[in-house]
Amino acid sequence: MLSSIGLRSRRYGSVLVGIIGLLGLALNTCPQLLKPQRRRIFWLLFKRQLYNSGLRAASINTIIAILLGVFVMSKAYSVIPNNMQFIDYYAQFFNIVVIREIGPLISGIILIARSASAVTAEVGQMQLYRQFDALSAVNMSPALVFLLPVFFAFPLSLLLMFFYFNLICVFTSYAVIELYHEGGITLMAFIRALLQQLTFTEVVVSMTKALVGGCLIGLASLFFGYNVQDRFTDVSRAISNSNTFQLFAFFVLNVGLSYLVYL
Amino acid sequence: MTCLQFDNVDLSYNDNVVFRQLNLRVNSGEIICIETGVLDGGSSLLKLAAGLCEPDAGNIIIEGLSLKDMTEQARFKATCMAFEAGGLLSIFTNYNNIAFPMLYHTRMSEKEIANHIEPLAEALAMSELLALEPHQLNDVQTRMMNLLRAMVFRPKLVLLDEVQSGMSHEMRENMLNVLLREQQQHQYAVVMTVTAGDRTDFADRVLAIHNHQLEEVQ
Repeated sequence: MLSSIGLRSRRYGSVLVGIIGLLGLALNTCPQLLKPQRRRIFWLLFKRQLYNSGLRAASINTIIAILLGVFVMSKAYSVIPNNMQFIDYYAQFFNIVVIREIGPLISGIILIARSASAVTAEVGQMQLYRQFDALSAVNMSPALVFLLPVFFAFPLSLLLMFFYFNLICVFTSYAVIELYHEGGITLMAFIRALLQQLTFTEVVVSMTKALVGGCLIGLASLFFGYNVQDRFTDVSRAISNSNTFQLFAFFVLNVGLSYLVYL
Repeated sequence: MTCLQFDNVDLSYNDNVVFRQLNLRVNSGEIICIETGVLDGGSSLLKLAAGLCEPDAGNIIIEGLSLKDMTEQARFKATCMAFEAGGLLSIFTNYNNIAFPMLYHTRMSEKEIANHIEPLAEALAMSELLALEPHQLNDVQTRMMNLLRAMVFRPKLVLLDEVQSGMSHEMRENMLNVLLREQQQHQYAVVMTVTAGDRTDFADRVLAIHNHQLEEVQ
């Protein structure tokens, strides 16, 4: 059992080293964006990545946010009495459960399930069929074509998904309040109460979770995809390993940051 | 002027020797056909000239510059290889497989790039294939798309790997007519690997790989 734990730790360690290497490569490639030709090709690929990872996730994000908003506010009613004077408690409950913890976590899981797997599969297949040779044949840098768009689009996508998810949750929660509450809480009063609960620290922590988490998820996708060897099953194995690592790393990041800042 | 020069190039994969002390000189504007068999190193020779694999020993020079010392920009202007199979990125359309490298390396606008691609695609009867994706092409169309890309880039050296394979007579004649017209106009050197049944009569020289070296075919 000890050897199994040791082996797993070593494997995760080597993945982390690889991801740090990719981070270094991404930072090293950034100066190429100063050249207008490089910038225009990067911009095209960045927009494509942002559309795929951020915008196309909107529908599933909406459905989950609606369900979660209804669930959270229904739960709030089971522990907090139904009264106008408790609006601050509704807001506090919403803030702690959705904005601090579940919102970022669910958004991260959606990003991993939808976009990170797709990137790992895409890069894995390209590696399997030696398509990086084609890129070398036209003398284009894989770092600029694949690494930088993911490196910038994933954190930005996650940030947008956080924001979007929370926004939908706010409206759905208010819809539940409107349905059950008899005390006439207005949408503006609910939003005002929420904003009063929200601190600068919470905004910074949420942004950190999005930016660091998105970056980690994106780089891990590329790392596992790029390490595909000659067998077809390597692609499915890469997706599976990549998702496992990303879920683990993202949960550790979320729980770790929340523990450090809020507890 | 010498366009491509191989000086005492050695290449082997594990214990399998492909080239030993291989020497080759290709002049600017010259067309060379290299007769190849199965696994005798035809594609490897082109990959060496394109800088896609490193020789174990020796030096490869294009227009006076060592290939290994060139920047990616200089390599783009120097050489382009048309692959026998694959060679196109599956995440881009066929059009973008040609246009993106030009956007990446040149200052040409998207319209100027389109003006480069479209007439040649039309001449090769491939206009309708540009909007498709690489997986929608058959082997011959894939080779033609690779050829189109190489011709659009107009490097100093065009490397064509078995581009004539599998083509109908009419298609081959048209392809060679367009290639020779473009080659005359832009004066790039062409190195083309050929197999049994392919035309070589247009070439300035025909070589064959024998005993890990190149020999002139009489």
